[in-house]
Amino acid sequence: MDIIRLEGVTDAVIRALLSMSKNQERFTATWHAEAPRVLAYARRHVGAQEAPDLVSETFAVAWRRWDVVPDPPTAWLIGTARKIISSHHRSRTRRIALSERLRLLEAAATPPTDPWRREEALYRLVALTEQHREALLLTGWDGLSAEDASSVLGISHGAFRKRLQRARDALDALDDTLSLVLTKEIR
Amino acid sequence: MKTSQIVDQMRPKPVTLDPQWSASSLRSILGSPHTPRSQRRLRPVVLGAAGLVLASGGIAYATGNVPAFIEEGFDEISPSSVHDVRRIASFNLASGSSTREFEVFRATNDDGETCTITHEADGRFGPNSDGACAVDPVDGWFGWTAESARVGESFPDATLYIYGERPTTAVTRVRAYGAGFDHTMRVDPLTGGFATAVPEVTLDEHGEVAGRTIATLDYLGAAGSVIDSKSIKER
Repeated sequence: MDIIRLEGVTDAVIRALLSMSKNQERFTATWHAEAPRVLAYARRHVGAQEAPDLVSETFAVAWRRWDVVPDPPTAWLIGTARKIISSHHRSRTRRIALSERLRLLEAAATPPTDPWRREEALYRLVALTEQHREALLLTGWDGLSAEDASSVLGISHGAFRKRLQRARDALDALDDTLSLVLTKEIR
Repeated sequence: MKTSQIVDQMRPKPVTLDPQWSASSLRSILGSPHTPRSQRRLRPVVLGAAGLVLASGGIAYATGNVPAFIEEGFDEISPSSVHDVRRIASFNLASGSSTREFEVFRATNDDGETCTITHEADGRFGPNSDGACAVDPVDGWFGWTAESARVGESFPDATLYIYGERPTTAVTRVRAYGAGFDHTMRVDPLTGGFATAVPEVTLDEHGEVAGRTIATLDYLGAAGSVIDSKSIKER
């Protein structure tokens, strides 16, 4: 194959163009593989209407800082989405009432066969501290490994495992009267 | 079956992207500037306590020492590395017979954003911090004091506060006024920061401020003349 070199086009320019193309290719593959997962995470936190904007914002940060995005990128992307939520959406997040948190989780959850147990489980889940709820859902719903989830939360692997265990214990230990209290509170 | 097992069973079904939205979003992102990846980097490692102390020790703070947990807080809210972390102001909020004290810290990040954290050391349920990053200049920001709710409680009211850094060194006081309030803040001569709580402003039933303008800020010189002015509003 003949290679035609245009005048003024240096090796550095050619390398930059090839690199750009490869970067775009990799980023596009990452978008298709990971955006649905980030969208699911976003829906749970900001609702279906705002979730696509959050996904775009997350991937815009990823593209801007593509040189530091690790491979695999899942934990980095979810961690970035989490930071954007706690930053730009902070006023809204803080003002979120228990009923709104419950609504977001209800909308995201897959309906199990027993609707009553589902309702009770969601009540208990919303009653947990945010730290405990996130530990449970990053692994249980977002499918992250404990290592990835600890990276998202910025804590050590050991600390995450303890937090996850405490979250499970808290979820299972809440007494039955709680659901009655919440029913009164939320409805 | 345990509740935690039921929660695991309720794992959401995989979501699919709207093809049109996906294509246009991807095109738009790829059209924006980026940093090419020169080589794959290793996954960042979460440091233990010793590492965090070392990390915080490596930052040159402009004004005194900033606690390590504040730096960690900035790492939590900022998508990129933060630097120039410093305390700029504080404000008090009367609460019954006691006073709650809040400190405001600021930093900049590698994305060119300014990040701020408001910290209450003696919060209702322990130390409490809240922060945000944005591209806006920090000459007039606002926030709501962090309030925690426990299950079974109604969500407590948060209090508006206004804060920032003077836009020029000629500014010595900042007047913040709006519907039902008029506060004049002294600018800290060392940090250039100012802050005040505005308990007069309440949220409506939708959790919003009635109207979207929160306050007008007048930046005052030593003689009391208005050097500059701006409005701050809900987005």
